[in-house]
Amino acid sequence: MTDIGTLFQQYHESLVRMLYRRTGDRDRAEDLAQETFARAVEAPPNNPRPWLFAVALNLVREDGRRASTRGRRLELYRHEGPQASPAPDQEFVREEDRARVRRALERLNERDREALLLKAEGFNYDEIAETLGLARGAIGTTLARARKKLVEAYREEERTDVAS
Amino acid sequence: MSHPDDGQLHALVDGELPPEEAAELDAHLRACDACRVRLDEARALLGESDRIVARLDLEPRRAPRVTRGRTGPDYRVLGLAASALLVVTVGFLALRPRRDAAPAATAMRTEDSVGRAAAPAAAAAPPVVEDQTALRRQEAAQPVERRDEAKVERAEPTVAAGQLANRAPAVVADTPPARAAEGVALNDLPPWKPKVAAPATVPAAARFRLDGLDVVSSQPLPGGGIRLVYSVNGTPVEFDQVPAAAAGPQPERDAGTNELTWPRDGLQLTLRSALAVGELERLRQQVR
Repeated sequence: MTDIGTLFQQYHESLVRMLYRRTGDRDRAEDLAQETFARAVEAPPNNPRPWLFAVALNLVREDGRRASTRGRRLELYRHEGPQASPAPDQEFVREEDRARVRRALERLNERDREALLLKAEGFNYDEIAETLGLARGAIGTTLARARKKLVEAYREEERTDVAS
Repeated sequence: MSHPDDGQLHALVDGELPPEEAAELDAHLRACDACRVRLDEARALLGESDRIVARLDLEPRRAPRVTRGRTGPDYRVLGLAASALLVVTVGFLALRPRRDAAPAATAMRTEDSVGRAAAPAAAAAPPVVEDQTALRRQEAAQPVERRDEAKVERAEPTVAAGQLANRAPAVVADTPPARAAEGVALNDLPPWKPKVAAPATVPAAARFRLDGLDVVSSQPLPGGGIRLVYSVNGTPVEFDQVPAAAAGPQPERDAGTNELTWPRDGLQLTLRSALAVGELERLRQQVR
């Protein structure tokens, strides 16, 4: 049994990042990650990474609030003090772009989006299949579809933004 | 083999096709121009998709949050507070009337969840739970860089040489020896940093390397690039890294040689070998 501290060190950052990309909300991602680890304390998993990420994704689904409806967050607190802060308009542009990516991701099927985000965290096909409860043979097709849709959706969002 | 579907092409690019299928597909690709084009398109799609997702990066928090009406701890303290919280939770759940032996779960390695070598050991808001923990936390805020260097020296390869399994980045937590039943001694624990396999003899000039394999030889390339030569079960594999600006036309290659070229971080990377394209795609996953 892997102890919880090791699990935390190994997977916490990756889990938060995946949840952030999944929900679009940094605070919510961290809260969900904490809850996921709390559950791991109660029922230590044998195969931790798929288990942790599966639990986390289930929590996202159960939790009815969808971050995408909350709108864009201007993350003003990310200025870093001693270093020069990015100019406000630069930060705004970055935040615009992030919102665009989130909107594009939202247009994918839930399963496709999750597969893509797990891949981005370094999961291999077997691990994605296990985490999502899919057949391993279906992962290539799932990712192919997800990637295609994401690129199309992102480009469309770009066009829409330029036009508006 | 008939024309592959998109799923197979993507599985090939991800290095996830089983060897027999990869070999069949490789043979088909040698003969089919149309599918080679589709393969290039799949690769481009994969690259662009990765870049899009990567824009949603996760910067570690340094400044306190101004939202939600509370001062949020920075990321490292968050990890620590969470771990401390887990200690308390587990202690509460598992603690028996006997107080002498702490629950096994307190043999936790609680460390900073995000170790950045350059991060200043800034005083952070004390964690939520225990005063004692806070004290140790400040003791633990020792010079981070010294420990990180020691850590890298001790790093061991995490993938056996020659093993071509497609694995996630080698992030392995350091595991100091189990603690006595006293609980967590935070001041003894080095700050957490992902343990990456220490390269055997990678020249300093090489920005990337193949994880899990040892460099057989290296030579500089014109334009400031470098070629690393690896051996995969006896078959040589050349790994070229050339500044994109300096990258000229690819050198002539033999009919039996396969090549994979892609841009990354301002460099043009090339894998060249007699191995099948599917194998090269697998190796590509191991570029670090």
